[in-house]
Formats: sequence, structure tokens, C-alpha cells
Amino acid sequence: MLDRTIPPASYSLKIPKIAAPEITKLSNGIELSTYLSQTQNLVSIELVFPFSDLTSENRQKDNYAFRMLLEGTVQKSSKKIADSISFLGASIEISHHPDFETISISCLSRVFPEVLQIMKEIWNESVFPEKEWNTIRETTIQQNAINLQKTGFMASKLFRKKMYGANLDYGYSLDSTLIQTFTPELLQEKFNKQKQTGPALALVSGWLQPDALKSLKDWLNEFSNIGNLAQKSSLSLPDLKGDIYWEEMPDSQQTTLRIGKWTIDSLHPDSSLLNLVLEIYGGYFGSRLMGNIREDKGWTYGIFAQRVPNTGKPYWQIGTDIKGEVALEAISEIKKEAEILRSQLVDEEELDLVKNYMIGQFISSVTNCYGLADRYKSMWLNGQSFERMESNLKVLENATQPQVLETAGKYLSLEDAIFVLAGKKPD
Amino acid sequence: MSKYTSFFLENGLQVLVLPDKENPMAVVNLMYNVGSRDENPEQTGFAHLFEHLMFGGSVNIPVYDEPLQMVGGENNAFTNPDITNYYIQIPVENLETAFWLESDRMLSLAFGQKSLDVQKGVVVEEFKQRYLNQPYGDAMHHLRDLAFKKHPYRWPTIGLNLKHIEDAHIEDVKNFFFKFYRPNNAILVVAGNVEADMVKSLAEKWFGPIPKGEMPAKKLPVEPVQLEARRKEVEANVPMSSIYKAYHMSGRMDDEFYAANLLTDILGHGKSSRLVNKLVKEERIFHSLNAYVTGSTDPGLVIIEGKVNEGISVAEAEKKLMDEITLLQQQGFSEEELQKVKNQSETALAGADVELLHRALNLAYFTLLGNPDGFEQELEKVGKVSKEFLEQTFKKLISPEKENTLIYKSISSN
Repeated sequence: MLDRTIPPASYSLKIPKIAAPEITKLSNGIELSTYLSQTQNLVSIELVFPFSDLTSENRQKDNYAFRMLLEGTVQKSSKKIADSISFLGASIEISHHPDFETISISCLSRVFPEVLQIMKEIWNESVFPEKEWNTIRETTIQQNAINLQKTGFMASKLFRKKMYGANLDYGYSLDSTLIQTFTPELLQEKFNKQKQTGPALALVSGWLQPDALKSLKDWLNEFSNIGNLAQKSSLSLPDLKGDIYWEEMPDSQQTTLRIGKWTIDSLHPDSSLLNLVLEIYGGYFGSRLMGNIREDKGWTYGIFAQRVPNTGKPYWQIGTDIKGEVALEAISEIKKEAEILRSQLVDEEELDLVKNYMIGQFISSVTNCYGLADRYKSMWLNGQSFERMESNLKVLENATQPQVLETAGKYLSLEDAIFVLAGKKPD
Repeated sequence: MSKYTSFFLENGLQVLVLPDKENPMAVVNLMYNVGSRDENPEQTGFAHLFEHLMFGGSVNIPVYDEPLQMVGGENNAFTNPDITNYYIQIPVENLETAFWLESDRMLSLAFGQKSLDVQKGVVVEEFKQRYLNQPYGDAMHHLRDLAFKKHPYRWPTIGLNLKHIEDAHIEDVKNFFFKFYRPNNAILVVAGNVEADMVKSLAEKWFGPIPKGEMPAKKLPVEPVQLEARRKEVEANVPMSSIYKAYHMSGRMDDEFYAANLLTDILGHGKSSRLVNKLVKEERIFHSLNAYVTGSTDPGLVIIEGKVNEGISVAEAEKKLMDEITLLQQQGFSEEELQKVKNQSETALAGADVELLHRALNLAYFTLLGNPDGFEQELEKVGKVSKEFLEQTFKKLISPEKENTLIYKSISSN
């Protein structure tokens, strides 16, 4: 008779050796890194353009200048560009981060040569038509009007402003004021100034025929230089003192809560242990916070704690959308859970569980070339080496109960955090 | 792509094995043939609430997640109008843990009152987070209610209202479980670096002893043919008014599904599409426009929705939209733009084939639809849609007497 109360035998997990990409350093400084796999018939390319002037005004100019690349060339209208890309079943997407702009290209491998032609054209022959700019500007302003009704957006906006101030792009959230001051001429001028500056990283995953890869490399070789990620040490940022800030939204049906606290970067020796502590605290479905706030009390659909690296100054944060009446009580519970981790040894079984879960997650994240590329991109942005990543995994594997207690003690105090709420303020 | 093998256990559970030799992680995907369309109209949202309860402990295992996380696995689930799907990703050497956990909760749940009370609270918060505390969040509630009069697609999977969820009783939970969560109402796909023989013996060991259930054929109400246009207006504190148009279309296995899907891509998917280009970019009538199909198993909907720009009246925007559609119906499309949306489909299908988890999920869903090879045939079916059939489908589906119009009116503008 099968005894279903006894779990089947299980085996300890082996962390796989992580393959490094094939790295080519071009003479202009561009790093071309590839994870190629001949079994794939898709290709994905990320071009990362770092910027070092981090003021929101300048970075937003870069943001919209990049977005205008898809809006016209000497030969093609915005519609024609969109049609050509769509006809190939491809996508060229532009995304913004305070430290960099990214152009992501993805398509079937066999059409890459044609997609590259379009990419070259929009870069080399771009024009910034007034009409297309007006559409982007107006759409953005209206999108902002929708966002202003969302507790999640409003909480994040106030949160970033309190952490970084609105002058830095880290502290900026979409609004209608700055964008009104931009004109197509201004954006074009901004773009022209940096047109010769290529992506610092070109990361390829999937499959490209050797001649297609060579065409990509030839294009990258046309740039004169690359930009650098900003040096963050000079940023002067406020001390946080446990203050609570409200964005009052009387009509809302839930309250969004964001808590943040400055912390160490990914190169710090405690980095791996801090990740472990945050995972136990609020990083996975069975975390202390999920257990308390969701599974015990039913106050929320979800609550998370996580480290936010590669920003001006790294911080960790907690976020949740919660029943409005209990928002302040939830803060007390969140503080209480942090204090428990700071004062009591974590149970050995819980520690093993979280370590194994994290190792499983890691293995799962690198099962194919696309996953490997994602991981490499984040290592690259954090300046992390493969040796460091491997030693971090070792630290995780060998982490002990006292280490967790000590790390929580060092980094989990909420005395110097900020608490931001958006929603209906309780009486 | 590797070929699957398929077999049935004596209790009716269908098992499919999908090999992928390179992958260190295995996927165990268990799909139950139950969704919100199977709910009692007085107890909507139940299939989804039930999905939450599946994590509240089973008859022999008090906690579901922990033993899985302990061996490096993770899991999640989703419910839609047609199915409820549970999936696990786990290092292949610990595969048996997944069989142990999934089979025990198919055998029976713990049915704790505390778990029910807490999950009702969680789902109520999910309802608010996704549908009530978002601008336009409840639009689909109104639109489904307008478009369907008989078929249970008339309510969304989250449920018609909060009260239905708050009123759920433990007896209802038990009945629902023994009615639908039986081996002969489920499909198990095991994917990864596994051998069919090994999967077979694990399946027999863990799932084999679970008794089959009585599974009477589904008798879902058939939606009567719509004979006249329907219209509803709601007012809300949103920045822009929004127009939603819904039209009935065929089910997932019909050739018309592929034509309707390509049609919505041509009309309103991205900057290169007709309506977006004309009414968002050129004429600036709308802030944004989208066209899509609901993609349901039973006959579903084509939906066209747009947010109206400030300074434009809803009446004017609606007229422009319908005039443009009429004009396109008269003019027809070019072979080139049909080819364009087919090419986009090809890339999307290739993308859906990358992750093992998606391959396992697609295999399970198409098996449920009655054709395990269905996903492999998608590209061919898309390719077969001719310009004539597309234009014919356009005229057949979208006409004034068949429309369902929801006006989501901003009290502050338009």
C-alpha cells in the first residue's frame, strides 16, 4: 500500500557551470557578446546605450530622442517603418532606464539581414517629424492622466521622488510638464550629438548565420566610440528616517504601499546573504510576509520584498496593494516580521527550503540561450564577473542560520526606511 | 521539435510525455477540464477561487508548496473561462516529488474552513487590485454581460461580483472538487529529460489508485444568434471615454478562428495596423485602439476597443470608427498585408515554442481540444487563410445588427 504521507526520495541540487558568452571587443570599445544555439530559429539582440548625465531633463530627452527613431527616415514615413518591420514579423523596441536606453530587436533568424537594414536606416537616416512628435507627446500626456488614477503609479511616483528627488532620472516618473518643453528640433539635435556613439553592449542570443553575424559586426564597427555607465559614488541622496508619506486618493478601493531602504550593491561581500534574507522575508510565495499578510490574514493578493540593483544607489523595497483599512496595521506587521528575522535564528528547515528554492530558480533561469543572455546582461550592468557569481552561489549554498541572523541584523532595520502610501487615508 | 508519446491510465487520466534531453528542469503540467464556463450563474468566480484552495493542503500533505520548494521546484496555476491549469518546474532528478504532490491533491483536499476564509479574502483583494481599483478595470464585466445572454462566458473568470466570492461555503467547495477534479477530467503532460517508461510507472504509482469520477458530457447553454444591436452606457471617473465593440465569432477549432485572428491583427494590432494608423496616428480621434479575439474554446468574441481623445465627442469617434470599418469592408485588403500578419503569426508561434513550459501547456490544451498535434498545425492553418476568406469573415462577423457596444463614459470629458 502506497503511503502518501511520506515524500519520495529527493536529491541535492547540482548547480550547473554557467557558460560565458562568446565575447568580441571591437576597436571602438563595443562589446559584442553572443549566446548562439543552432537549434533556435529566432534571434534576439539587445543594444545597450549607457548615459552618464543622469539629470531627468537630459535623460528624458534621450528617451524621447530614441523613441523618435521609429518615427521617420529620409526615405520612410513612420507608417512605412512600422509596415516594413511588421512585414518581416519582426519587432524593434526601445526602452528607457535611468542609466541607459535599450534597443531590442527580435525576429526569425532568416529575416535578420533585412531587419538589420531597417535598423541601420532608422539610425543613420533618421528624421524627427513634427506631426509624429505631436502624437507621441499628446498620447504620453493622456497616458499620464490615466496613470494619475492608479494607486500603484502614484505610490511609485512619490516613492521615487522621496528617494532620489525629481531632478535625477531615478526619481522621475512620467508627467506632462517636462515633455511639453521638448520639440522635435531639440530631440534631433540631442540625438545627432551622440549618433556616433554606439552601444556599449550588443548582446545576441538565439541563432544567426555567420554572415549575418558579420553584417551586425560591420555595422557596430561604424561607430566611433561608446558611452559609459555613470559613476554613482558622487550622487548625494537623502538620509531616510522612517517617515511616512501619503498620497491621498479618497476614491480608491485599495491602498498601495511602498517601503524602501538604501542598501549595499551587488559587488559587496554580503550581497548574496542579503538576497537570501530578503527571499526569506518577502521574496517567494512561502515568504514570511506572504505567510503573514496574505495567507494568514487575507489582506492582500500579494506582497514582495526585493533588492533593486543597478540604480543610482541600490535599495531594497517592499510593495503591496492592500485593503485600505489595514494599511497602517500592515506596516506594523511588516516591521514585526523584520524584527523577528533580526532577533531570532531562522529555522533550519526553512533555511534549507529557501536555499533549495533559490538554487532551483537559478537553474531554471539558465536552461536556454535566452535565459543565459538575460543573466549575463544583469551581470554586465552590475559589473559582476563569472567568478563573483560562482562564489555568490557558493555562499548561498553554504549559508548558516547565524549568518542569516547577522545579515538581517545589519540590513533589515526599518528605522531608516521610508513608507509611502497611496489610497484612502484612514480617519 | 521532439515528438510526444501518449497513454491513458485505467482511471481515464490521459498522460503525455514530451522529451527534451537538454533541459535540466522538468515540467509537470496538469490541466483540468473546468473553467468559469462550468460555474453556476449564482456562484460565479468559483473555479478561480477553487484554484486558490488547491494550495491549502491536501488529504495527506498539510502544505503544498514547501515540499516542492525544498527540492528546488516552483509552481503556479491559472484559471480561464475554459480550463484550470496547474504547472510545476522542478529539477528533473526530483521529478517524483511533483507526482506525489499533484496526485495527493487530486485524491482529495483537506477542505479546511480557515483556508477557505483566508482565500476568499485574498481573492476579494485580487478582484479589487485587477478590476475595481483600476481605471476601466470592470469594462469586460459590462461587455461580456452585454454580448452573452445564455452562455456562461457572460461573466468573467474572476466572478460577477464580490458577493459571489464572499458567499462561498465549504460544502460548495467539496461538491465542486468531486465533480470536476477527477482523473478522467484531466490531462497530465510531463516534459523534460524523461523516458516514457519511467513516466508511465510514476503515473501508475501515484495517479493510478485515484478513483475515476462520473463525468457527464458538458451541457453548456448555447448562445442564441444575435439578431439586433445591443448597447450599454456606463459613466465613470476616468480621464477619457472609451468605446468597446464586441461581435460573436466561432470557437477555437473552427477555420473562422484563424481568419478572425488575422483580421484583428490587420485592424488593430500595433502601429502598422489599419485602424491605429488612420484613427490614432493620422486623424488623432483616438488615444489608443486595439482589436483582438478572446480566443475561447466555445464561440467567443472579436473585440475592438478605443479610448477617445479629449476634445472629440464619443458620437463622432464612434462614427469615424464604424465608417472606417465599412470603408475597409468595401475596399478589402491587399495580399501584402495579409502576408504581413501571417509573418507576425509565424514569429509569435516560434516564440511560443521556445520555453519547455509553454510547449507542455500547448500540448495539454490542444489534447484537451481533441488534437494533440494541434499546436504543430497552427502555422499551416494560419497559412491557409486566403484573402477571400478573410474578407468574407470580416463582412460576416462585423455588421451593425450584430454589434454589442459599450460606451464607458468619462464624467469629466468628451
